[in-house]
Formats: sequence, structure tokens, C-alpha cells
Amino acid sequence: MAYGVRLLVRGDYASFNRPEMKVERVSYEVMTPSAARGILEAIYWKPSIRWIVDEIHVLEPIAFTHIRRNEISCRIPVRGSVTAAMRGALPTAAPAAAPGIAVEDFRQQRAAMILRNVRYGIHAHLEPQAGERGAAGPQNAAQALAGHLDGFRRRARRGQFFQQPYLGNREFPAACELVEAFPACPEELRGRRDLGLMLRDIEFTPDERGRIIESHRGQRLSAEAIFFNAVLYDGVLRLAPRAARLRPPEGAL
Amino acid sequence: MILQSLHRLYFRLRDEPAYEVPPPGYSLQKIAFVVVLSPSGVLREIVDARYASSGVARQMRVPGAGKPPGSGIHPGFLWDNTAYIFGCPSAEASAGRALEAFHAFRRRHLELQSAILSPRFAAVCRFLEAWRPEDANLYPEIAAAGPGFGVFRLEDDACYIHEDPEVDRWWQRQREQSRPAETVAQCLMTGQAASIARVQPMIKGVCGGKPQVTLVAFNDTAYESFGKEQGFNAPIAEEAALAYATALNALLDGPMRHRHRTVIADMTLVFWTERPCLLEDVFIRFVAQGSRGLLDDAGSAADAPLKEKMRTFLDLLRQEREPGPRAVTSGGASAAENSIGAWILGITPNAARAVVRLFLPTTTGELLRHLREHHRHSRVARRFVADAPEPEPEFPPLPLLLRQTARDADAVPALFIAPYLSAVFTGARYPEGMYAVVLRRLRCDGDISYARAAIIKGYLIRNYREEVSVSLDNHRNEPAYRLGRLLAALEKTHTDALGRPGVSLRNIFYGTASSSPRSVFPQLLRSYPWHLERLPELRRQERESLIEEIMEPLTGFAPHLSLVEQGLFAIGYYHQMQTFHHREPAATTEPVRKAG
Repeated sequence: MAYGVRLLVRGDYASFNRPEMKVERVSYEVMTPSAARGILEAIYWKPSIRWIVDEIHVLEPIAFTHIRRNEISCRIPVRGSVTAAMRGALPTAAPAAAPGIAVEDFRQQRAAMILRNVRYGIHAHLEPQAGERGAAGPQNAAQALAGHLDGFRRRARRGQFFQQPYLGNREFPAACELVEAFPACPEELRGRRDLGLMLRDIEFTPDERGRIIESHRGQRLSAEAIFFNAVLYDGVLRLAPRAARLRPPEGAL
Repeated sequence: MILQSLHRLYFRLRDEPAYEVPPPGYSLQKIAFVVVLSPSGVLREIVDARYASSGVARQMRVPGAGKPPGSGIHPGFLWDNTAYIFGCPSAEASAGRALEAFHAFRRRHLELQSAILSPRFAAVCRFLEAWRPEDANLYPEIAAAGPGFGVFRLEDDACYIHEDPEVDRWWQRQREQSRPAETVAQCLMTGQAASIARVQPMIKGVCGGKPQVTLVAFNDTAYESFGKEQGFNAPIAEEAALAYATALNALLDGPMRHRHRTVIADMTLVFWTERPCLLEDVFIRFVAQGSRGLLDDAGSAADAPLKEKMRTFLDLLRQEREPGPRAVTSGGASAAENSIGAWILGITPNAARAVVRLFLPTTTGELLRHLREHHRHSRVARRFVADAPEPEPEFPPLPLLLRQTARDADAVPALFIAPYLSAVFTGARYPEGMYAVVLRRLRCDGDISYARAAIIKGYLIRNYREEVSVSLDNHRNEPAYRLGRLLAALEKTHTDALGRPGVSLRNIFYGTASSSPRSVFPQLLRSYPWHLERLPELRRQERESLIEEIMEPLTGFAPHLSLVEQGLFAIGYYHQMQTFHHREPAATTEPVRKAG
């Protein structure tokens, strides 16, 4: 069942990082479907629904710029220091295992080729997620979805969100607006433009040896990146519906 | 997009023998020595394989990829350095490590004794079985072979042992057998599920930084995500990774690199097209040298066809309109082939990584159009043409233009290189900051060179939408322009009168005259009549009427000039000086023109 929403997203900078150029970041030319999903989920999401992005409209010419930022090269190790601290080990007792990093020892400068002055239109719809807590039964499915959509529209209209929607990196906030129709694409994006393979989304599959843990169920998952052929037709990136991978239904929740 | 374009390039380069791209499973290595064995495996001699004239090692196609990065032991197959072949310690390998390497090398070959039925390979096995690393002392040639790799040969053979047909056949066969796929995922370049490379191959030939850098690497925990490690963060199939790295290495470091690669300050610029064409032949040379390459007649005869192509290309650039069915291909095919894909890539090293600073997928037609536009915007009349000692090129090379932003050649701010080149190649606006920097250099040293005038004119036309002529415009009444002309005329009078080329008005006064004219010009105009008196009669009248004509529309001197006006000032100055120079080329005592 498809109920669509149209969200206009604007920002000064955006960086939809290519997986292969992730260290010295290079952005994709347009917004990735996973970034679009991220913006929608930042505004409204429940475990019982899933956002499916149908179209991404590119409404400003594609322009890049180059920046350099100081970052750090390591992560705070969870298993050693953070879990020990959670169990009550005092940092003074074992300073080497303190849950922190001395930033000056790990500073790294990383360059990035990012997008400038972006504006996108996201056309997406909701799908119910079976087997989740709060999911409606089949008779109420349509009603439940309508309720979710109303919730999304209400929040989007008021500018509410769970966390600030962003364009690729959290440093690049997005201004969102609910609209009825998108403006036309700029002149230079008319016609067909092949963008090559682009990241569609990350799919998570249950895996006992996976290193990612679902926060609401504690299940182990492993991630897999899915790519698709991205072609812009008159500035519109259309996403073919992907056969949804159904999660195996859990036992009684 | 970047890796995908390089991947496509690989398939083109593979079919062109001039690039010496090795087929998959082989690599090109620099071989410094040859180990000559008897058929029973006794070491006969060690022959130097370097080119006698230059001492440069010989490039040969050998089985296996190059040495991977890191400090593990990776014995080559029928090729390696003295530590692996002889166990001889050297500058790179301590005695213990050399021993370890030798044993690994021996093991790798002896394991295959029964698999490869070739008398030549058997000779190598016999040699390795019998050899003791201590024997290296008996053969001083081993230590003399130095760093670098060596291959094997039987004493009466012409070919090397790794080229033996049976060995080759075995090598191809064992490559084709499907290896157990360790990790299979969708490759982001081909879209197909394939075995993913854990470590990407290194790129050579990026100027600055380490000799080998990686384009795609995740060597710290901060770069990993979704629980993936190393190369699995960016799933690229092993074959695809090898393809793109080989293609890029061929462009940067291969025998045809002069055609594809140039270095501008700290950025290595690479250029390639979908198929061979005129633009590919001349583009890099044009970027690096402008039209300077044509100005000198020195150069070998082999250069002649290239110069001819350069001439054709420059003619195309001079045209005001798009060419009709004229093509940008070699051989002048009649079909309009302005839509050949072309790619420009600019890489800078950052420690052991390569940063992509510029990537422009475009077509030959588009590129030509934008180059033409850049030339039209920045063209100014030249002062020194053909017979002068340092003639100015009609098409200034881009590094020369970028050089104007700094006092020393190695201090060019990296900030401007990529955006300026991007503007030249895509027709975008020039980077705003660079204009102010060039004007600042101008104020510091007062040297209005051809290159600086070209940059300023480009900015005024493209960024600030002014209309600026190529040479002197007598009817232009803008105060800033007239003031520039005035300074030039006053300076010329000063130099003509006193004949001292060392110290000129512009060295002292240019900076202040261009930014706050009111504080300088009254003073200059006060001393001007004394200089005027010392000129010969005819010239005095000429000069006087010229200065009157320049000053006629001026109603006063502005206290400050904006950046745009300072640019017009500089152009006015340049135009006037250029006119003076042209009217009296021999007699002009132009102060020493600083190079670049």
C-alpha cells in the first residue's frame, strides 16, 4: 500500500560520502536513498513502519567544493574501557583503560569534496513492518498507516524532529518543508545523466557473528551495502521498488 | 564515478601496447639483475640487467602482483630481490629477515616441483635446494646487485625461466581455478557479487608524499563503519580493484605518462579520453606549457608531429565560434566528434593516502569550449612577442597563472589550484579569493606582468561582469582605468627623462597609487613637468598631449579604489605600457622584467 509524502530539503552543504572515498571524503553527486530515508526517519519513525523512498528530485545545479577538517583517527574502544567503566571501574584506578582519547595524539586532517547549495525533493511512502511491537493487525493496517502519515505530516509542518535532519554528515543540517509538488529541475540537469553505481541503502540481516547489535531487541546483525544504477532523468532519480527482505517473524513479543 | 571511469579506462589501455599494461595475474617490475643457472641448478653468474647507458632497471612482465604494502613475507614467483633469492642481507633486510625470506621463497618453489613439469623450473628448484645463504659471501656479485629485483635464466637460453611455456601455462591455470571466496558482496563498481579485495593496490607516481599511496584505504579504526574492517568498508571486487589501480598506474607511472600526467604545485593532474584523439595528445602539454612549447625551435625531430598537432589545437582555440563539422580528433575525421568522453582527475597526497581534489567528467567538445572561453576572457595584448629575448606565450600556461599568487614558486597556496583549474575547465566562476591575492602581490612588488594582467582581466570579465578590452581603449572613461594609464604615462616620462631603469615610479608608488590614488598622484604630477622638460621636443609634445588626454575626464582623485577598480587600474596601466612598448620597441628601456 502506498501513501506518498513530498518533502523539500535544503542545505548549504551536503556530503553523501562514497564508500570507496570515505577517508578523504568525496560525495556522490546527488542525495543517496539512504540519506533521504535518514531525513524522514529523523522527523518521524516507529519500529512498526518503514520508509521507502520512491524518487529524489534534484532542484539545484550540482556544485562541489573542497574543505579540510581536523578529525581523529581512532575510536574509543568499547569493550575495554567503556564496559569496564559501566561496571564501575574507576578511571583513577586504571588510567590506561580510561574511556577517553587524548585527542592530540590521534589528530588527523582529512580533506573532503562536498556539495554546495543543495536542494532536493524526496518523494517517499510508508510500509508496515511486520512482526514489530506496535504493528497493527491486517484489518487495521490501512488505518494505522494513515495514522502514521498524519503524524509525520503534523510534525513536518511544525518543524518537529527527533534529531536534527542532516545531509550526509551531521555538520550539514537540513531545512525541511512539506510540499504538495516539487519545482522544476534546473536547466542544466535536463536530459539523461548517468551517475554510475550508487549506494542504495544498507541492509541488515540477522547473523550470530554480526558485530552490529539492534538496540531495541539486542539481536546481532551484519550489514551489507546494496548498490544500484543511478540515472537522472530531468533531474529525477527514480528508485525501482526493491523486493523487501522480510525479517523472520519473532516469537511472541 | 572516479573508480568506475578508471575501470573503463583499463579495458581501453589493455588493448594498446604502448601502455605496457600487463594482463591480469602479471605485473611490471623493475628488474636489476638476472641469475644465470646451469641446467642442474648450479649458479653460474649474475648478470646486470640494467640499461648500460642510464643504469635504469629494465621493466619486465613477471607473474604475480607487485609486493603488497606492509611488513609480511611475500615471496615472488621466479622473481624477487637478493634477500629472497639468496638470503643475502641488505639495506632493507636484516640477516634474520633475509633468512626467513629465503626459506619462504624456497618453500614456495619446492612445493610446486611436482606440479610444474619443466626442466627450467626444475633447475631453479635444484638451485634453491642446494643453496646455503652463507654461500652468498663467495659471490660478491650478489651484494653488488644491490636493491631491485632479479629473474632467472638458464645459461644457454635466451628467454627467462618465468617465460617458459610450461610455467606460464601452469600459472594461468592456477589463476583460473576458483579460489574459495572469502567474502562475497556486491561490488560497487560492477554491481555484481564478487570476492571483495581486502587491501587495495597502491598507486605510484603521485608527486609529493610517499612514493606509493592508496586511493582507497581504511587503515585506522575511525574510518571503519558497520563493523567492517579494511577494504570491506568499500566493497570492490579484487579484479576490479586491480583494473582501476593498473589503469591509474599506467597513466601516472607508465611509459606514456608524459601524455597524461602533469604536476601543478602539489597536485598531480591526470587526463584521459575515451579513445585516442587530438585533445589527448596535446592537452597535458597545453596545460603545462601553454603555447610556450611552440615558441622555441629547439626540440628533437620526434617532436615535429606533436608540434603540428599543437598548432592545430591552438587554431581551434583561437576560433570565436564552435567549429562546424571540424573534429577534435587526430586525422581530422569529418564527423563531428566533439562528444568523446574526457576525464580530468587531480590528486594530492596526504601522508600515505591520495586525496581527490578535482574530478571532472566532461567531453572533448565541452572542454574545448571552456578553454576557448577562458582564453577569450583572459586574453590581453602581449608586450614581448616573437623576437624579444623572453617572448610571452599567447596562451599562458596554467601553472604560470597560478604562480602569480605567491612570491616563491613553492609557496603557491593549495587552496586555489583545484578551484581555478575547475573554473578554467568547466566555465565556472574563478575562485574569489585568488583575485584578492593576486592584487595583493601586485601591490607588494608592482610588477604588472602579462600573466597577472591576464588573470585580472579574466576575473573582471567573468566574475565581475565588466567589459575589458584586449588592448588600449582610448574611449574608456572610468577613473580607475584612466588613473592606471596616467601612472604608466608618468612613469614612462620619468624613465625617459632620467634614464635610470633600476628604480622606477611603479616600484615605489604602484601599491599606494592603485589603492589610494589621492595620496600619491598630486605628488607625482608635481614632479612631472621637470621630467617632461628633459624630453626631446617632439616626444615632449606627444607625451604632454597624451597625458592631457588621459586626465581630461578625471575630476579628482578618489581616496580609495575598490578591488574591482584596482583591477581596472592594473589593466589600464598594462594597456598603456603595452602601447608605449609597441610604438618604440627598440628604444624602450623597460625595467628588468621579472620572470614569471
